[in-house]
Amino acid sequence: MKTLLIKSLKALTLVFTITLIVLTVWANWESPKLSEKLNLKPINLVVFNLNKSISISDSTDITKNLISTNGVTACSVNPKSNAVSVTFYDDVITEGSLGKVIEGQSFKTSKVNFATIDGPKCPIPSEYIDGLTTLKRILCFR
Amino acid sequence: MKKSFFMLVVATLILGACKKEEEPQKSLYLRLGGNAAIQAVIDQFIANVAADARINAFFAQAAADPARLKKLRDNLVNQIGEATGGPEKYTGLDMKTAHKGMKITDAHFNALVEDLSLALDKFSVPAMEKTELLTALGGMRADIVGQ
Repeated sequence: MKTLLIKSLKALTLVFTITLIVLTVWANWESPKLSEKLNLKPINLVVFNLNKSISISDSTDITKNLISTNGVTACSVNPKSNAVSVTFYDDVITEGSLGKVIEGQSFKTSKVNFATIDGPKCPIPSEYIDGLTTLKRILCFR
Repeated sequence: MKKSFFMLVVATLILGACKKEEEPQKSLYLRLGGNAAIQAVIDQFIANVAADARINAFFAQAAADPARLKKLRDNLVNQIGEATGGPEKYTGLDMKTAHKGMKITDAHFNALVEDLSLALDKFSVPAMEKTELLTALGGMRADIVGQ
């Protein structure tokens, strides 16, 4: 009985060690992505629907006002869908402030809630991908 | 004297016949402006897609979650960086796996290319570089459309 227990423990330890070595080799096979090394500052995204049609001059004015706003990295005015989308740093400017910049052009804005849109999804669950990415980051020594 | 003159003529002909070694062309990555320029184009591309009612539903999950948006942005920067000869490495899912079951059509793909093209135009990317980039990425159509 005691011998069997010791043998089982030895086998488990061996399996665990081999698994750890294999995972470490996998995690260090490639150097980390350049984006991880550079640690790109995350951006936020907000899309506003507008209450009326957007003319070419409105589009130009809205774009000019948004791009000159501190914290905004990009903006897009889509006259076909009456939508304005903005990528920004949320530690510099808030969604509310961005909405006010647009409303300054006599528009009313309503934020698009993407969480309620049931669009096509990536077939691989994000938790699975996140788990692998986190494991790789922990075991990577490069 | 005649001999010296003759040798001078031969030497001149030989030197003149030597082709000047052409400078190797810079990679598309460097001609686009490197990582910083690609980041700026990707931010604009993301903004264009988010406002585009034809395809923004495909990106709803990323748009709703800042952590997923960061992953999408990083993956796009890495993908374009790698495709254009930069030091980035794309380590996301392969295109076929990532788009399986989404029923993406040619119209959806064309809309995406249009949004990317507009982003490149915003930064006045020259026509040659723009065409090279769109051609490099166009090769992914077969893996994305009809999955």
